[in-house]
Amino acid sequence: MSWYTLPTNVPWLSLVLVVPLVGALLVVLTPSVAGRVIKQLGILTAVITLALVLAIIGGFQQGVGGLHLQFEEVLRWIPSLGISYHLGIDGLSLFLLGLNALLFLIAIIVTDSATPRLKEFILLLLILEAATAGILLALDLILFYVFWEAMLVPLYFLIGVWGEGRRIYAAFKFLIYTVIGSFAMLIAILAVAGINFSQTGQLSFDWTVLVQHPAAGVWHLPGSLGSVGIPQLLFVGFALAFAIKMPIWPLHTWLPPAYTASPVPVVIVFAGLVSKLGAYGFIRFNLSLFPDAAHSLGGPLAVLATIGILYGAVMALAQTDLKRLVAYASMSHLGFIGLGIFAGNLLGIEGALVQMINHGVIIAALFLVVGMIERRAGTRLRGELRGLGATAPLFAALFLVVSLAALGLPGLNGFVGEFLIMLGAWSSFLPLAVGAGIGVVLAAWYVLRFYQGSTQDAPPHPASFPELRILDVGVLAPLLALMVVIGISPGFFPAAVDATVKALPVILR
Amino acid sequence: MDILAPLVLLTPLAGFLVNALFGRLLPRRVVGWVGAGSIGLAFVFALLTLSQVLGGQKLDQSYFTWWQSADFNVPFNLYVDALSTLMILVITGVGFLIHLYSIGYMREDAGFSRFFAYMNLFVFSMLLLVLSGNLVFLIIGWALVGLSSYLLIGFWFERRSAVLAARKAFVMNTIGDVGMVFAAFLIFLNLRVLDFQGLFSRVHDLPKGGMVITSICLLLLVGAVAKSAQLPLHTWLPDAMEGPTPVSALIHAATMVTAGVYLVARMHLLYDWAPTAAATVAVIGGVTALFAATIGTAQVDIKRILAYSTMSQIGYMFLAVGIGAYTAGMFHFMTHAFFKALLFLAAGNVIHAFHEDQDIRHMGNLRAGLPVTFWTFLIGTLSISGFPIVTAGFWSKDEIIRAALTAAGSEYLLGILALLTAGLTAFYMFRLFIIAFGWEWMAHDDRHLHEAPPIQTIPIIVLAAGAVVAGYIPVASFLSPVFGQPVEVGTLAFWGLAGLTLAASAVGFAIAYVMYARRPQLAVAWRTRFAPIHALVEHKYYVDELYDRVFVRPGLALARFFNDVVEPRVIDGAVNGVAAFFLVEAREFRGIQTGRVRSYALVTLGGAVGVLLIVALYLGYLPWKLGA
Repeated sequence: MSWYTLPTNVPWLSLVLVVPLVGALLVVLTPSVAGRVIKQLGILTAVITLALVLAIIGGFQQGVGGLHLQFEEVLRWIPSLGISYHLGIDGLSLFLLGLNALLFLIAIIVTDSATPRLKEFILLLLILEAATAGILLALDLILFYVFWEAMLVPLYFLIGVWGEGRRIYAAFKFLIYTVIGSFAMLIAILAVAGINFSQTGQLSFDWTVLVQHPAAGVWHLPGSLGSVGIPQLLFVGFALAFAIKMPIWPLHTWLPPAYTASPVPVVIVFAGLVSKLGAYGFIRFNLSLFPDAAHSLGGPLAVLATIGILYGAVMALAQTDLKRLVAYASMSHLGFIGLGIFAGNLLGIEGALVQMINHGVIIAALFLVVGMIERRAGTRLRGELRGLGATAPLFAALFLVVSLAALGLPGLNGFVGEFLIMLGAWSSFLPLAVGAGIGVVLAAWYVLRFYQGSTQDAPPHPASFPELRILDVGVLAPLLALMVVIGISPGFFPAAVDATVKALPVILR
Repeated sequence: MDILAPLVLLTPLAGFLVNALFGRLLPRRVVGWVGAGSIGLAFVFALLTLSQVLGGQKLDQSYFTWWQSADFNVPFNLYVDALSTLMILVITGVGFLIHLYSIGYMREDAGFSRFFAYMNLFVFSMLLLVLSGNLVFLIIGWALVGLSSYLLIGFWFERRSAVLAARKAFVMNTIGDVGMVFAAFLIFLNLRVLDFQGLFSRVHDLPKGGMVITSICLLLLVGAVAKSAQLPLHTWLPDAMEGPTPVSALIHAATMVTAGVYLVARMHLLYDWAPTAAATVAVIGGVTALFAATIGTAQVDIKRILAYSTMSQIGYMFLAVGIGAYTAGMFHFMTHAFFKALLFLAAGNVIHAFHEDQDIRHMGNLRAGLPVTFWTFLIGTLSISGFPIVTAGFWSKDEIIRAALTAAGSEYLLGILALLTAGLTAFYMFRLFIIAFGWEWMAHDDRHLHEAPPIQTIPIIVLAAGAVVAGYIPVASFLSPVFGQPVEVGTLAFWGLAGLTLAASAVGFAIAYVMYARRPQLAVAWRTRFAPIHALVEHKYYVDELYDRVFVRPGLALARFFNDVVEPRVIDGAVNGVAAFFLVEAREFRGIQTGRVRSYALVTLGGAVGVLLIVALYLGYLPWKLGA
C-alpha cells in the first residue's frame, strides 16, 4: 500500500544524492561576495531535496515484506571485486532520510548570513547532506564506507574552521575517535566479504547478498589462547565505528567538546542526524549481518547503553553551560535508542527507529532554542539567565513544548519511543528497563531545571530579551508539529517500518 | 454515544486551543466565557451521556490506531460505563462552577487567558484519563493532568517558591508515571492486551494472588500514590497550594488528586485478584488519612490546612477501595468534590479579602463582612466533619468507616484509624473555622472586608447545596453495573456504627470549641507543654527535610562529582592517555591546519595498508585454522 506510485524510470535515490551536489557546484560557481545568493541557493537546494524525499516517502510501498528494498538502483562499479553502486530504501532508512532533508534545510535557514566564508560553509553543508543521505541509501558496504568517510571531512572542517572555543581540540578529538572506529569497520567490511567468498565462492560487498549468508565460524587462536567466534569479531569491528558515532558510553568524550564547539547550524545536523547514523548502522549491519553475535553481545552493549542513559542524565544535572547540558541530554537519549536496538526484539527495535526520528527532532529543537537564547542574551550560562518568560512569552511557550517532548511527556513524541524501547528492554533485560525508568525521572529533573531556570523566576535577566521573530517560529514549527503528531498518532510509523523490522535476521533468529 | 463521548472530550480541548492560540488577542470577557463555556458545554454532553447510561448503554469504541505491530495493538478507544460517567459529571460539573468562579477571582491577573487555557487543558486531560479505554491513553491522560497541574502550580512563575513547587510536583509525579508504564508492560507481556475490555476478560488467566498480578497492582499503586499525594509520595501537594486558589479547588482537591482512587476502582478486577496489593492500598490510605489529619491540626496557612485535609480525605477513599468497598470510595469522591471545592473557593474569597494573606491567625469575625462565604464555609466544615443526616459528608464517610469495621478480616484496625481521623478532622476543621471565621477580631489594623461578587458566590452556593444533598444521590445503585450490589446492613448496625463516627467527630468538635472559642489560653498552654510533638507535626514530620537530605542533595552532589572528577579525570583521562600513547606525534601537528589533514591521511593510509595485509593473509594462506 502506498499513497501513490512514482514513475520507476527515474533514479529517485540518486537524485537525492545529486541535487545537493549540484547545489554545491552552483555555490562554487557563485562569487563569494554574493552572500545572499549563496544562502538562497543553499535553501533552494535543500527545499528541492526535501520535496524529493517527501515524494519518495509518499511513494513508499507499505507492508512490503521480507528484506525487499524499494527504489533500488544498481550500477556496475568494480565488478571484479564485487563492488557496485547499489542504492535502496526500506523501513530502516525511510524516515531517517526525511529527517536528513528536514534538518539540513533548517540548518541552512538558520545559518547567519554574516558568517565568515559563508560560501564555503554552505558548500560543506551541502556536501555533508549528500554524504549522510548516501550513508542511509548505500547497500554496498564499500559504497557505504565511502560515504561514511566522506561525511567526516566536511564535518571536521565545519567544526574546526567555524567553531568556537576550543574548536581545534574538539575537531581533532572527534577526528581521532572517528578514524579509529572507521578503521575497525573497514577491516570488518573486508573480512565479511572475504569470509563470504570463502564460504560461498562469490565475492560481493552487497548487503542484500551478505545478509543471506550470515558469517559463521570460529577462529582458533595460536597456542592455548582459546578461540573467538568470527561473527563476534566482525560484530565488534562494525560496533566500534557505530558506538563511537552514536556515542555509546564510555566512548562519548569527544561529544561534549564537539557539540559545544559547533556553530548552531552544524550542531543541528551533527546532534540531530549524524549520531543517529551510528544507531542506523547498528541495525543495518550488526543486527542484520551477525544475528547470533547480536544476541550474545547485545547484553553487554545494552548495559553500556543503560549506563549511558543514567550517566548522561546525571552529567546533564551538573552542567552550567546550556549547550553542554543539551549535549549530555542527547547522550542520555541516545542511550535509550541503544537499549532498544540491543534488546533485539521487535518492539525494542521499532521503538529505537521511531526514537531516532524523535531524538533528531527534539535535539535539533533544543539546540535551536539554545542558539536563540545565546543570540539574544549573549550568554548561555544557566546562572546568568532568569525569568525570560516575562519578556518573551512566545519563546517561553515554544521552549516549553520542546522541553516537554525532551523529558518524554506522554502525548508528545519522546514518550512513544521511550515506551516501546522500555517495553522491548523489559522483555529482554528487565533490570535495564528499570534503569531506563530512573533515567526518565532524572530527565524530568534536568529538563525542568533548564527550562524553569531560564524562563521563570524574577526579575528577568538579561532585562531585554527580544521576542521570537517569524523566522524563529518558522524553523521551530515543523519540529513542534512533528512532536505533536508523532506523539498523538504515531500509527503511520509502524505501518511503514513493521514489515522490514519483522524480517530482520535478529528477529527471525 | 460514539459521537457523544468524543464531544465531551473535544469541547474543552477546543476551549484550550482558542485561548492558548488567540487568548492574548481576545477581550477578557470572551476568554472567560470560552473557558467556562466550553466546560459548561462539556457538562451538557456529560448529562446526555448520563441519560444514555441510565438507559443501559455502554460504549467501547475505537477511533484510530496508536501503534500496531504484531500483537502489540494499541487503539485510541473510549470506554464509557457508569464509573466513567460519574467521573465526567463531577469533572465537568464541578469544573464548570470553578471556571465561573475563576472569571471573578482572576479578573485582575495579567495572565488571564493563560490561566483559562491551562484550566481547559486540565479538564480535557482529566476527561481523557477517565474516558480512555486502554492503558496507554490512560497514561497519556494521567501525564497530561500532571502537566496541567505543573503549569498551574507554577502559574505565577515570577515567584520562586511557585516554580520550585511546580517542579517538585512534576518530578514526583514522573515517578508515578514510570510505575504505571511498568505496570502496563507487565500487563502486556503476560496477557498480550492493553485495552480494558481485553484486560478485564483475561485477568483471571493469571494465578490469583500470584507474583505477576500483585506486581501489576503494586506498580499501578505507585502511580496512584504519586497522583493522589498519598504516603510516601505526598510532599508535593501542600506546596502545590502555590497555585491560584481555583486551581487548588479543581485540581488539587476535587478531581485530579482523586485519580488514584479512580484507577484502583477502574482496575478493581485486578485488585480483587491481588489481595496483598489491595491490602497495601487500604493500609496506605488509612495511614495517610491519619497522618495528614495530624499535620492539619498544627498548620496556620488556610490553604495548607485544606491541602492536608484533602490528603486525609483521599486516604479515606484509598482505604475504601483497598478493602473492596469501591462504591463507598467513589461515593466519598463525589461528596468530597462538592464540599472540598466549596471550602477552597470560599477560602479564596477570604484570601482575596485579606489581600492574599493566608495566615488564619490574621483573620477573624467574617460573618458580617463576608456573610455568604461565612455560611457556605460553615456548611463545608460541617459536611467534611460528618454532621449527621443533613450533610453529604456524613453519608459517604460513614459508609467507608462502616465497611472497614464490618469487614471480615483485620480491616477493623483500619476502621479504628478512620475513626481517629474522623475525630481529628472535626477538630482541625473547627479550629480553622473558629480562628479564621470566628468571633474574635485578631487583625492589627481595621480593614473593611467586602464580600466577593456574585460570580464568585453563586458557584459556592451551588456547591454548598451539593455538599448537603449529594448524600442522597443513589450512587451505589448507579454504580452497581460496575461493582455489583453493595452489601446491605441492618438499621441497628447502621446507626450503631454511625453513632461511633458521630461520637468521634463530636469529641473533635468539642475539643476545638473549648480550645479555640472558650479558653484560647488552653491552646497556648498545650502547645508549650507538648512542644516537641507540636514541632514534629508542625514540620510535617520532617519528611521534606528527609527527602532533601537523602535524594535531592546527594543527587546533585553526585552529579557534581561525576562532572568534576569522573568525566574529566577517569574516562577522558583514560582516552587521552591512550591517545597520547599511540599518537605522540599528533601533538606536533596540532595548530597547523595542513598537519591535521596530513595526520588523518597518514592514519587512513596506514590503516589501508594494514587491511590489505590482513586480507592477503586471509585469502591467500592462513596461518591459523578457520573453523566451519
